[in-house]
Amino acid sequence: VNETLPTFRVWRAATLLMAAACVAGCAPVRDELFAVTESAGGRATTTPTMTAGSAASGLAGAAAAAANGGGGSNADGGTPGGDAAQDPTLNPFADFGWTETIPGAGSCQAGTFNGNFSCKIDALLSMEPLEGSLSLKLKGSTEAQLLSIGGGQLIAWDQNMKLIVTAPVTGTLDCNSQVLTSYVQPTPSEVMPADRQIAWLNLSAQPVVSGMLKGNLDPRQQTITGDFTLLFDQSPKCVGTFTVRLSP
Amino acid sequence: MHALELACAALLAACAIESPQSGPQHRDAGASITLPTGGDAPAAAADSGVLPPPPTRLNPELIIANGCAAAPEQSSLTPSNLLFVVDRSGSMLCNPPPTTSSEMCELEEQRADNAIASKWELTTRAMVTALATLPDSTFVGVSYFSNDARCGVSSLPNVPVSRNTPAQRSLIATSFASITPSGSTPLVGATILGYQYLHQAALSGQITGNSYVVLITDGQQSDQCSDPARCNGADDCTNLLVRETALAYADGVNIKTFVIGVPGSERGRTVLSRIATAGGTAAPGCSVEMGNCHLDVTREPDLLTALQSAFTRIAGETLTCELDLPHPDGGTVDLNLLNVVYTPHEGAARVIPQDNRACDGGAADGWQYDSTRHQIRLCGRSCTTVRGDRGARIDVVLGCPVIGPD
Repeated sequence: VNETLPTFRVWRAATLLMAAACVAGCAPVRDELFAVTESAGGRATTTPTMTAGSAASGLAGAAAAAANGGGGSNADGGTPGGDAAQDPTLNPFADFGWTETIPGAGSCQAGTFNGNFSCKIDALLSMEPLEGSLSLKLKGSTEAQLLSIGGGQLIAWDQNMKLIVTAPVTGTLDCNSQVLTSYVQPTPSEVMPADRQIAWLNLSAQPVVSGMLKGNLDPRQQTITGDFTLLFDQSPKCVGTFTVRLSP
Repeated sequence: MHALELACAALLAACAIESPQSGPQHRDAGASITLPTGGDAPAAAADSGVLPPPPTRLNPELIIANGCAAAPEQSSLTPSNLLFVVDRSGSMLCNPPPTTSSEMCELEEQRADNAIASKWELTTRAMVTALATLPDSTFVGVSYFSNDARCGVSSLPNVPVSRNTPAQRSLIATSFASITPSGSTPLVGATILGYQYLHQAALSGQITGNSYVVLITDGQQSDQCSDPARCNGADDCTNLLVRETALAYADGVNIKTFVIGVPGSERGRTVLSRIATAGGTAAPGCSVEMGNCHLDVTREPDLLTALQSAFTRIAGETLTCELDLPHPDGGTVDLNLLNVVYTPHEGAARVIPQDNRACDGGAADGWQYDSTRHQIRLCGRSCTTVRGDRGARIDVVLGCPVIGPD
């Protein structure tokens, strides 16, 4: 069997000679030769030279291991084997893409959504803007179809940054429709100055504030945006928008 | 010119010496291979005067004892990696027909009769049974869609692919039991990300062998579960999946896709058949237009039995009887000087003969060289025996003249 080794040596010598000599004039032969050389080079073609004795000990030992219940390197399994070699025929550039959702970070994730709102007072004598902050604590399991606002708060102030109201917010987020429906619970406002009462055409010193928020969840951004309405008693009305985002 | 003539003469001389005993050669990923020359190979080699004449009748004991072996290489059946991509949409809650028709289930996604198992429960049972029949050497994992009761999908499986040990099977069974079906059907994203996961695992060397995605669904892609950067609407996204499935099946990725259509998927038969066809698992002689190329269990009266039958077929097609050729330090593998030795878990080692008769459903009972995949393939009883022996050891022994069938 080992006699094939001289064969290889002769072949290799011929290859080297041919590579040196065939600079021109034998292109067809050269192409074929180089193809064979590529096969042999790097992965040099050799004939196994292991002696019968060493081979015998190898297989006998392995057979003994198998007889003893050994399963080889695969037996210690678990996660995909770390010692496996990469298949060189695989295409590293093949790409399979799709926007991923982190498990549990889908459309209905419980947590605290913080943000703000802005609206404009719709009164005959005033169109002053109103701003404020929103905090909605959504509670429920990831698999749930409906998350409830377990703790919500709205804080509103006017353009002079004077506090108007701090009111609780309740409601639900429907995971199927991705719609938030929530309410600002009726709450007496801070004491209103006379000029604002006149401007708003509401002569109550502490008008009761209530309101409604209706928004849509963007599950990829984990934001809820929508329309916002605040009422001071029945008038005036403040209409605007809100945005809240899931806090880390 | 003198040097050229000398070189060409030397080359021709070398070829003349080598070719009679070597046969045609072609490249493999790791070694060059000398193909078998047929039954008269030893005689031809002897005539060349290069090789000593081999024994006319080689004693298998000699190979087992390594009396002539040049290099024994422990080998193993090429492993299979199965990622089950499973639909957990709300409609899986329904009882299967005839208790709840697919039309009724679409209207009301709920279990009508608590005394009868839901589609989800039957799928779970069939999965657990199927995994128990797969060998430990198979790698299995599970990815549900969605992962958020809506359209969410992830490339990280809910149960990552790992060896099919009792612990892994328990993990999968527990995972199935923890799921309450709900949400939409983002099967396109889940399947595409399944390809990504398996391909990356193969590229990083974490898995080897043949990889498969097994898509199980009772519906079709939901319209609202698009990925606007890639596709919009169910049809557009499904077309994308068919293209990606073909890419996954192609050389360089080599992931096949099985598709099981559970009751509820009746209207998606054509689509599911297109996916199975693109994924290389279409039933022979099927027609995409007829929608019978995938594993359609919607027509069967007993869903559990039908699912188990589908899993059995998948197991039969994914459990390989292939051995990688050894790469002895980058050397030549001469198939004329190669033997396969099987050492059972209990019992004495024996040589599996070479048998080049028809392998698939044919008379062959032994090994043969698969020139397409550059692998050794076991056929017939040799295949089933080795595959069914969890403690088996396989050695590919180089250096001894090949032993054929008796």
